Amino acid sequence: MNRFNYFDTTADIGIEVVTDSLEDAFINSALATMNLVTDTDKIQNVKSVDVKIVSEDLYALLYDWITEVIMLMNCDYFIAKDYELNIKDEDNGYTLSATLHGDTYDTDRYNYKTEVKAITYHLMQIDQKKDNCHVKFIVDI
Amino acid sequence: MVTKADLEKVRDGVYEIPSSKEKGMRVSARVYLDDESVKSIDDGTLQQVANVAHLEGIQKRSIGLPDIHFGYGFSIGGVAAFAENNGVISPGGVGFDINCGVRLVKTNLTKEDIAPYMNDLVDDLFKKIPSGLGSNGIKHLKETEIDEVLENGAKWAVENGYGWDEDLKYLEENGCMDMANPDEVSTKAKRRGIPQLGSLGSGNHFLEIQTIGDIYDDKTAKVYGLEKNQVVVLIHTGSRGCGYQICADNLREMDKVAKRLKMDIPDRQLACAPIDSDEAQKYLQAMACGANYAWTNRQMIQHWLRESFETILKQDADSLGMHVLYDVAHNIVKRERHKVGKMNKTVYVHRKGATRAFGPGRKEITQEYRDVGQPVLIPGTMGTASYVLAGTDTAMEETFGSTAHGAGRMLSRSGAKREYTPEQISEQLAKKGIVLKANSPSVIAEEAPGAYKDVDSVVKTANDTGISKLVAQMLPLGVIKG
Repeated sequence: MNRFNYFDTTADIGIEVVTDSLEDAFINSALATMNLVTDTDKIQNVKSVDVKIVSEDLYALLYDWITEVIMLMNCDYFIAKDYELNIKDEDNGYTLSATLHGDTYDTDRYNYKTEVKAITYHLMQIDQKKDNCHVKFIVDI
Repeated sequence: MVTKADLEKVRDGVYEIPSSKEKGMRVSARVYLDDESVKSIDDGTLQQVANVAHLEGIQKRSIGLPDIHFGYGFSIGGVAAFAENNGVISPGGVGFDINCGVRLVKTNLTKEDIAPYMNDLVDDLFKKIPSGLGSNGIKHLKETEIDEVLENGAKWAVENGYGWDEDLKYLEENGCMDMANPDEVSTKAKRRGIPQLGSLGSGNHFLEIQTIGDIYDDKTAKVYGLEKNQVVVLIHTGSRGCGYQICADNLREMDKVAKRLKMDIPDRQLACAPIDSDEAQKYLQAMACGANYAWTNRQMIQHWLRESFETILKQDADSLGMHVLYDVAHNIVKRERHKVGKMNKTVYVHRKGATRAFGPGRKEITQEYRDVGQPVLIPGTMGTASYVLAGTDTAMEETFGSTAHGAGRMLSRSGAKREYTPEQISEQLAKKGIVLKANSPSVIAEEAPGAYKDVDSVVKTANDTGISKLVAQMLPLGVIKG
């Protein structure tokens, strides 16, 4: 099964992932977002970046996480293929800690597909069951 | 729920869903559509126009323009005005690409004059004007400079050598909104903005060398300085990552306000806040910064455009007559005075995928154009015509001085890629004699003209319903896509 699927919306593009755990769903969501910009399977692992995010609920956490992924691409030209990621449910909300492994984007070595502007709350869905997690969201491109 | 069956005809091309059709609608929902579009419009888009009619303080009516299509919360091609005393502000009513807009630059060349230079010009422009990831603006701003850009807009560009003093006179708001306050822009948005200033971006953004085709209104065309066969250049881009991030940051904040105030909002993406709230004021100040960034961006691109023409044609830009016709915003909220009923009121007009189309006499219009109404610039898509129209009294009466902004997407991007190949589209354009350079082959297929509503019918409806007046048609000669 694919790690992620894209679905159509008129102006933008939807991302859908089905995984065993919430963590994997967040990882595959990030991968799907990066894969809109460049083919992620070709990314080499030459550097790592740590990310920590605290958000008030799971939907906000997904929003903030994908925003961070877009920031990494746009400001630091960092693209990642492999992810270690942990989500903790704490009193003040959810904490996400991640280490991303990848490379600096370079037009000579990596292809360019399109620009991702932002994640939206439109039709956002996070269904978490015991052994299964289903996430859907739309990014503005 | 509203459906197409609820539409009542007001006059040819104008339909309304009365507020009585759905509980909670404060005003009616009006759409400007030709017979064909009335048949094809989906209920989801109509529902969005109706949803906006639910928001507190909305004046007169919620409006859908001839190029309307489904968006997030607010439809694209929509206008809504809210009273200053009891209305709301909604980032979703502006969109992610704050002040995505269009600038038209004139020349005194004809298409015959420029023909021998077209390939070299397009190559040079493609090299000079950055677009896409990894190819950022030529000018890499210092961290301290970004605040000056956000506060001063196009004026900053001119003061730093990107353009002429006279350019500012021909920009909506003279290229700078006063309420801009860089302190309300997040570090994230500034970081995204710093490397991208002076870049075109991808998607539907483009720079196009065009020639004037048909003239529909000789008198107005003369006032605007346009004549048949003249070469002009259209720049279509916005506030890049900086604006996207300002929108994303504020949508998140507004979402909390709506919950806190238990506002009755029919769709989460309509998140909004009362105009006098801290959240709304902060958004307005940040949005103005995004708008200023976009005017600076177009100003810098125009500067490199002049440089390219100078290099390739070996003449200076002044003697080539490279003056700005006008620069308009397509995604913005503005504080304006409008007639509502018998009274003049201060309202906040949200234009999302809509062009200001102020009619004759309004003081906001550049003096030279004031007697004929402001220039309205409506870009087409790759390979199709674009248009110059003029603002009208009817627009002032009916649409808070607004009209359509473009073609309006019909096919999804992947749908377009299934229908068309990049090679097919390039070949099609080449046959028409149009030179095309793009960063990404997939963008060529995604942006295929067939993926959009026919722009000719959009401007015809805008003209026939009176919300703007056709002045001139522009035909593409060369296109640069992000």
